[in-house]
Amino acid sequence: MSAVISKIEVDCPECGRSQLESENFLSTVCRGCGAYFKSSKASGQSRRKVKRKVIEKRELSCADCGAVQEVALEAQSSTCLSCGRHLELGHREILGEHLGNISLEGELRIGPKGNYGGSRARAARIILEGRSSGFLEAPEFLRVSGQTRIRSGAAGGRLEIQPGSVLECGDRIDFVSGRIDGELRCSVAHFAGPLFIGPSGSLVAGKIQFEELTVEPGGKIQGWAESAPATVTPAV
Amino acid sequence: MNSVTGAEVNSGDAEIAGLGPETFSIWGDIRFAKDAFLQAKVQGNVQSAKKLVVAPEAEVSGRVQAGEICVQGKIEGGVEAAGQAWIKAGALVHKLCVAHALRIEPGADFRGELRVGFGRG
Repeated sequence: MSAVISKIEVDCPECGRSQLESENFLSTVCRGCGAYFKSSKASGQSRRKVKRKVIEKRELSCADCGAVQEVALEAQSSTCLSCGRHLELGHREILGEHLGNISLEGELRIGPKGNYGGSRARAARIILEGRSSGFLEAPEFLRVSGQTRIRSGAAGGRLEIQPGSVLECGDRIDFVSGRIDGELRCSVAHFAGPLFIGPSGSLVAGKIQFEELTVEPGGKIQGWAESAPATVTPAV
Repeated sequence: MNSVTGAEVNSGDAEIAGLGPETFSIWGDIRFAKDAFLQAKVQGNVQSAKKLVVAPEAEVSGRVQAGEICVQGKIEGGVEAAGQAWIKAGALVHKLCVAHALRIEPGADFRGELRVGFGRG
């Protein structure tokens, strides 16, 4: 049994001819003059405009190819538009023992009693407050807070050692820049860009490489050091 | 080439500068009593209790010791500063750098033992 559709009478705004239309009609064509016209619901004030929620976005760079894209702030995963890599965007916290590799675009926090026991952990930002047996890779920054230890080395964008904190690293560290306000001990410390040792900072390493070095009064640095060679401009 | 030879030159003047287009050369150690601007080639060591500026044209084969040092030239034997040391872009310091505080600019060539903030001992 079909439902009865109630009809209403509408007048053409062009020729004034009346005709019957469904009461929910939005637009029609006049059967007299052929003019197209909209109902008052479609064109009038009675139609409420739905305001779309603005989706907050953030920039994200792929850890593999470095391509930058925008993703929703709340997104938990995405796919790189350039290389197709699956990007895990969430954050993770290690408060106890964790085995196995980690790769995420968000933040990884290894708590004061946390111990990362996998071979390699990669996160855009790593906050180290505990220990790591595996290699740590942080394209944005590695922030060290508390008494910490890395057995296998670390690499990334910026190394920050907070005042009063200690990082003992059993292998090479390789960062773009560094700010040391605590204590760093490692075999090789390589900084492709500037290295800053604050008034309470200390760096002791077998080999230290940098492009630019500032040691403020009170800061300490010791080791065999080498500045990056001056950029050679190719002859035209 | 203008040259001065001898085991030691005690300079009360604040400046040892190049004479004309040729570089002033010194064989032996030199010691400055005041703030100094070194613009010469030195085959030996340089000492100053005050501030010493090593000019871009200057070259020192030995070690340079001073209260404060600003290096723009070349020092092959290392630097020791009781206070601040600056190694400017284009400068060369090899072998050693001991200082209380240090700034090495991008483009400077440093290679050697680095000891800052641990005293001169």
